[in-house]
Amino acid sequence: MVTEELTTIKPRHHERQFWINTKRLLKIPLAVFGFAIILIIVFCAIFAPLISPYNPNAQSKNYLQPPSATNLLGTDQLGRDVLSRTIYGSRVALIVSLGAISIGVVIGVPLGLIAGNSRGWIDEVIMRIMDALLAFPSLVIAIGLVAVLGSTLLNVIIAIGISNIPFIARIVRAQALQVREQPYIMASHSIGSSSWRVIFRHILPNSMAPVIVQSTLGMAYAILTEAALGFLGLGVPPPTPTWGNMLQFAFPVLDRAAYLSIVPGLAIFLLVLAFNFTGDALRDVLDPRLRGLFR
Amino acid sequence: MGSFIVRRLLQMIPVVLLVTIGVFLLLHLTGDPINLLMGNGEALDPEQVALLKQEYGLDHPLINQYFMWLGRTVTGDLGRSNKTQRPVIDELKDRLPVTLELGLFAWLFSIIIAIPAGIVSAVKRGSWLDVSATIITIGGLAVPGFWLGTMLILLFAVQLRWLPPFGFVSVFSNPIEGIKSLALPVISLGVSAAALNMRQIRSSMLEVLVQDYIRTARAKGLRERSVIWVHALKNAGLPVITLMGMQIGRLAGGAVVIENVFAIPGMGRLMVTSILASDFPVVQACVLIIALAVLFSNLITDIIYGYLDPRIRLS
Repeated sequence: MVTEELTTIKPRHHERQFWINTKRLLKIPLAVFGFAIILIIVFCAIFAPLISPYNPNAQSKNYLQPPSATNLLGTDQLGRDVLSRTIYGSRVALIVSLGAISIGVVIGVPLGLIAGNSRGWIDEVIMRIMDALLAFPSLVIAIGLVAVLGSTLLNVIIAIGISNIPFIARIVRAQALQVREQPYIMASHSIGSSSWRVIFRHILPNSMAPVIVQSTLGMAYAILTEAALGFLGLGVPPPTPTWGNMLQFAFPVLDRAAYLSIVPGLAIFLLVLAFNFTGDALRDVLDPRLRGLFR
Repeated sequence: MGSFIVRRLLQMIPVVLLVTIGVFLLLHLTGDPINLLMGNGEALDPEQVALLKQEYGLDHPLINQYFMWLGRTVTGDLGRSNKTQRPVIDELKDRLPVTLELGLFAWLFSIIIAIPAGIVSAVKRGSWLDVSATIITIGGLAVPGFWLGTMLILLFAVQLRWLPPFGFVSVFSNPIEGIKSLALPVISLGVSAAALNMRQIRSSMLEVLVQDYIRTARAKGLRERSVIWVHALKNAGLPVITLMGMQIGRLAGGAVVIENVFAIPGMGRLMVTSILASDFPVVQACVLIIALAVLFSNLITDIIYGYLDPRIRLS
């Protein structure tokens, strides 16, 4: 009887909590702003072929045209439409940041759980490896890997993803260490729950809030790293438009065609700003204790 | 304090070894180290490959190779650039001081901006000063440093013609030209660190300012200035010091891009030109040096923290 009640109440409780949190989020103006920008950019990425006025790689004789009625944001050295390229550029920014964070979560969460639950030498080994990874700035890891493996979309995602692993692993481990000291964990063990059950029923759900917050902020950082790689000519190679390689291409003509450098930069700025706002707001709503952890 | 430092040093040994293992394994990631070391992608006949493998010691088991590589690295032999044929260490000798100078000034810039701004923001919470400082912080965290650099070049070098758009003169050899050449790179590199510092100083000041000892200091009639600068800042400063130490890595990563924007002949520019020239030994050495520099600065930060806060060194 009792178990039956619990199983029927639990999902409802979760659902209610979700709506409470959503309502709280919607009361934070910056969160709404951030979320709106993310939605707009995701929309652009998905429907790029429908909303772009031109093919992003179509060259024309109208090169280096300033913004006009035919090309709203002007054209580049090859006569390509800047607006269309900026719209398509959102795809790489979103794919790379989402892919990189997924790698961080998929590898970092289990590592953090194992480290936090085993203590002893396993914990020690995992955390020292994480410390070693943290010694490499994400851009430096990315440059090192791209130097060896070459610059492709997948390699860029892997390179940025690896630098996310230690941040996620540390957060999950800290959470695991904290949760396992709680009385209800002892209670759970004493009624015969296995370690796995404790991990998946208690420790993992408790780690989700900080992981979600860190992932949102990590996406902002991934976008910045991807753009920097693109600017250095080490990101996703042309002709695929990315905001980073657009800026690289625009840099030599900065004195003649500044708009070429302004537009993709603003796009990066807005998307990073949006993820930062959303991440900060999520932190306030989901886990206020975490204030100030942002790298 | 002595035992604390020794303990920290011992803790660092495995991490340093892991870092070197990581950098060493970079060479073997593709399974074709000869190609990476020679950097030309030319088809070599099997005899040449065998000969080269012998020369580089690649015919030994991986673990032996690692220790051979580590032994050479410790003695300063980082291999030979396959582009210039000079020892990598010589290539780095000219570049490292440039990057250090850029990084040092960016770091100082971030602190000089952040401390007063953070304090004023906290003390005059909610005022227009606080609001504008917060807006600048939010912007500073979201703006890509290299793009900010581009925009600064556009404004100060292309439009106003006040500052040179690129190039590098050391402040220590020619102060005036040095400051002119470093102003824009330092701002572009330091702005995100300044934003982070300011945010941290503001929040830790806000926490400290409501403490009992601050009320006591005020109650005994101390001037507001000494309450804030002596009593509050001393206690609010601890988390900030950790943050400032942690930023060395962020600055090192940022310097790689900024040096390429402003054509500054430092390690970051060397790294990128070496990748484009398939000069792997140089890239590998740069990655190693940056990682070790980050570990070293973390160590120094921990030691300073332990010195300032006895609770840390005794725990």
